[in-house]
Formats: sequence, structure tokens, C-alpha cells
Amino acid sequence: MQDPIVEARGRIERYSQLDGLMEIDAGIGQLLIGGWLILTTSSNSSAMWYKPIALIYALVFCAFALFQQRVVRAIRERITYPRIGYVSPGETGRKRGIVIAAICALLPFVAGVLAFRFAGRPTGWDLLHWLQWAPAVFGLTFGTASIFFGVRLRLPRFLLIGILAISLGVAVSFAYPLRLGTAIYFAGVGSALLLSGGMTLWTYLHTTLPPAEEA
Amino acid sequence: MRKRLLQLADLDRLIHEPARLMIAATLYVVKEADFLYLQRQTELTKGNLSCHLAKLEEAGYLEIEKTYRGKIPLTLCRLTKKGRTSFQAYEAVLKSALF
Repeated sequence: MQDPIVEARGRIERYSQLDGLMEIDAGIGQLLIGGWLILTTSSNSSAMWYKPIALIYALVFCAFALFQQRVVRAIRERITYPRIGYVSPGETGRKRGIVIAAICALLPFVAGVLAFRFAGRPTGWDLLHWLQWAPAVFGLTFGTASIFFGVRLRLPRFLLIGILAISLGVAVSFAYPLRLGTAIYFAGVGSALLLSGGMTLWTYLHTTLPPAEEA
Repeated sequence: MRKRLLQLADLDRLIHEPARLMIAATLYVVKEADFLYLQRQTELTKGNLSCHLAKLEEAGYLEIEKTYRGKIPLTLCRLTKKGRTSFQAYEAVLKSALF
């Protein structure tokens, strides 16, 4: 039998993923990165429309980075908290998050060192050669974190997203040049996150109703 | 063994009551939670939950903050240091006597 305190901690962590808003948020972020890469890869930078479009895109990106948390909080105050209530995780939960983020940040470094060790050093420290593997490293990092969360929170949708991120990252590293491959990776994972978050939110809104007033 | 078993007689009865135990166990793992969250987790009625929260507050185990989020009233509950210590002690006695 699992310790009820541990079980309760797991419930708190699952709670923050009930509405799918975090996935939608992450999905929009990844789609914006993918869109930027596609814009800069496929467009003629000397065209008249390019600079204004790039500027608008950069502003949208900055606005997203600045306001995303505020928007998510505002939406939660309107649709999540009135349905299932508000809870703030303790200091332990926050510390655990920092440790997980540190592990995720370390993974690309470890992957890079291993790739250098086992790839036979065909081109030495040629930066472009190593950058070609960037989507694979992104996929490995994000995918591992997603699978970790999926197992820990017992949410299968995170397992699927993790497997997709790793497979897509490795596949585009083999099949496409760096910029296009990275753009496809971000667009693919962003769409998957958006779809998963959207479906979760739809299900949440239709199955979890605000409590009825007691007589 | 007998000594450990006898410790059960000293259990904190304020926490030992099932509804209050659910409330304390829920709040022990978080920083704070609102009334609705506690109601969802414990499946107690509003009146019952209010009554048990008041008892815990009276004993100094719980802090209740009545505030607003926008125009919506919000009742935030959090365990005090005394409440956390008491819950830890309760858990320790129960574990040592039963497991």
C-alpha cells in the first residue's frame, strides 16, 4: 500500500495538469519557435515584406513570453478554480520542480558528450556537424522529461508526447537539413501538445462542473 | 510492543476524528488550499467542513484567510506550524504502534 502522504503529493501534482492549459501554453510556444524557423528558412530576407513580418513575429513572441503565465492564471481563475478549487503546492513541490528542470538542462550536455564519444569523431569539432543533431537533442531532452512526468503523474498522454518528441527529433536530424529539421520538430511537437492540451481541456470542461449550491 | 500500543491512548483526538484527519492530511502536503478544493478532496458538505475547520482553527492548528480573487470570495486555509507539528507527531505515533 502506498503511503497516503506520498499519494496526496502525487494528487497535487496531477491537479496542475487537469485542465490541459500547461500543454496548450507549451504547444503555442513550440509552434511559435517552429514558425519563426520556417519564416527565416523559406523566405527571401531581402523581400520588402520580410522585415515588417519578422518584426511583428518577434513582438508576438516577446508578448507571449511576457504574458503567458498571466494569461494562464487568468484563465484558471475563470474556469479551473471555480470547478475544482485552488491549491498551492508547498516549498517541497517547488524544490522538486527546480531539480527536475536542472536534470532536463543537463541532459543535452550528456547527450552531446556521448554523441562525441561514440560517433567516431568524423568531423572533429565542426560546429555545423554537431548542430545537425540539435533536433535529436531537443527531442531527447523534452521527451525524457515528458516520459518522466507521464510515469510520475500516471498520465499516459505525456508518455505518448515524450515518445513522439524523441522519435521526431531523431528522424528529422537524419532526414532534413538543420533549420528545416528543427522547424519540423518544433511544429510537430507543438501541434501534438496543442492537440493533447485541447482535448484535455475539452474533456475537463464537459466532465467537471462547478459545484451546485446546497439547499 | 505493549508500550508502543499504549501510545495510541495519547493520540491527538482533535486530529484523530476522521473528517479533521482528512483535512489535516490534505493541507499537510500543500502550502494552502481553498475551501472548494478541501470540499472536493474530503467530500464533506459545506456545513460539516466549516464546522471542522473552525475547530482546527480554534485549536491553533489552522489559519483561515478570507479574501477575494477578483470579485469572487475566497477562503484560503493553511496549517500553522503547531498544526504541522501535531500532524507529524500523530503520524509518527500511529506508524510506530501499527506498523
